[in-house]
Amino acid sequence: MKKELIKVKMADVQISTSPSVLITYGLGSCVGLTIWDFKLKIGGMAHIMLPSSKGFTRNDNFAKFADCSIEFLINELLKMGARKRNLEAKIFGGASMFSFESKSDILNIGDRNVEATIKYLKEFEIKLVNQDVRGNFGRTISLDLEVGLVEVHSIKKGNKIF
Amino acid sequence: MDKLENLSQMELDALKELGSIGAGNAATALSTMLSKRIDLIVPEVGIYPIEEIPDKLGGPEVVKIGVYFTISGDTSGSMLLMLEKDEGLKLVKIMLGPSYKVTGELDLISKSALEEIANILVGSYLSAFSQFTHMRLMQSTPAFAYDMCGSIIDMICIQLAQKTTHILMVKTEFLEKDDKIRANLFFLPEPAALISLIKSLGVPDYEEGTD
Repeated sequence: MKKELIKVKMADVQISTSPSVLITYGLGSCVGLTIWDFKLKIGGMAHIMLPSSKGFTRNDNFAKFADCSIEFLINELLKMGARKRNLEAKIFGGASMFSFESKSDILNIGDRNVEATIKYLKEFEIKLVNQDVRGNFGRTISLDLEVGLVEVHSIKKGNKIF
Repeated sequence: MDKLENLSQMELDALKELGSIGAGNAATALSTMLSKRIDLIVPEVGIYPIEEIPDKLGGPEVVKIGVYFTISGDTSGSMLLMLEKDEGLKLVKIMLGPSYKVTGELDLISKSALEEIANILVGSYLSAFSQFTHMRLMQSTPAFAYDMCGSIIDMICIQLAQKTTHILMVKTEFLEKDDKIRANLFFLPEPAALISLIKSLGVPDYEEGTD
């Protein structure tokens, strides 16, 4: 049986149950976060653009921020019966696609996204069990909710499982 | 000013016209450099939610060449030349002539040839812009990437996402008659820059902050 493929767009969060696969394409400086409950085999994926929602108006799409999308993912999973101690997080992306001579804030956005995501996971007491971050290449990630494994595809480094 | 989606049709048309002028200049520059007639397809101007930009560029997973510039001066934003690898290699072949053997891979020489082509395109686009609007514009050095579309564009989206929820995208398509070289040039100004742009075009009734 083919598993249902659920796409996560940029600045988007999706949650699903086994058997299905969550996928997001072409992460550059954005961060892809997966959270999976190994007991219930449910989980979610976020495609994060910015580190923090501080200073933004309420009209903004919350899913583009690390803090809001992590909070949303955890709350939704808990509502579905997940336990915090059974949740496993993995993070991907946060690359610097272009190398410039000057290193401005915006060019370090990948780094800042990675750092913020790690920080908020710690604040929400979620285990970070694996990561494949930074570098200068794009990544497509897919989370198989049946087994909790994330496949990372990149044109520079091929496919890897995390 | 965070209401790009409220631009009037007249303002959009004016921006499209400005895009045409820039693109026309860029096409002429490219034609001269390559000694080939390069046509351009009338640019598309649209306001899109940031989240939809990767799809507008052909899908986030499609592998493309991107040459990226930041624009500074009296207005700011980004310019991005995007094209398929095969199209890029065709351009390299035309530029470097028969003595250069294109291997089918993007080697250093191909990359630097493409950066130079992009540099000229962007430079001529902006100089038309400057003449028309009397704005001083500067471009950064080119930055090259060959990767998934989504990963190339996301830094620009992130940059703009800090200020706006929608992006104005001016899309230009270049077409070389015999070889059908397709390349897209995107101009992605920052929203604040648009006020001064629209003012300089003399479009009436542009109101700021009608939030």
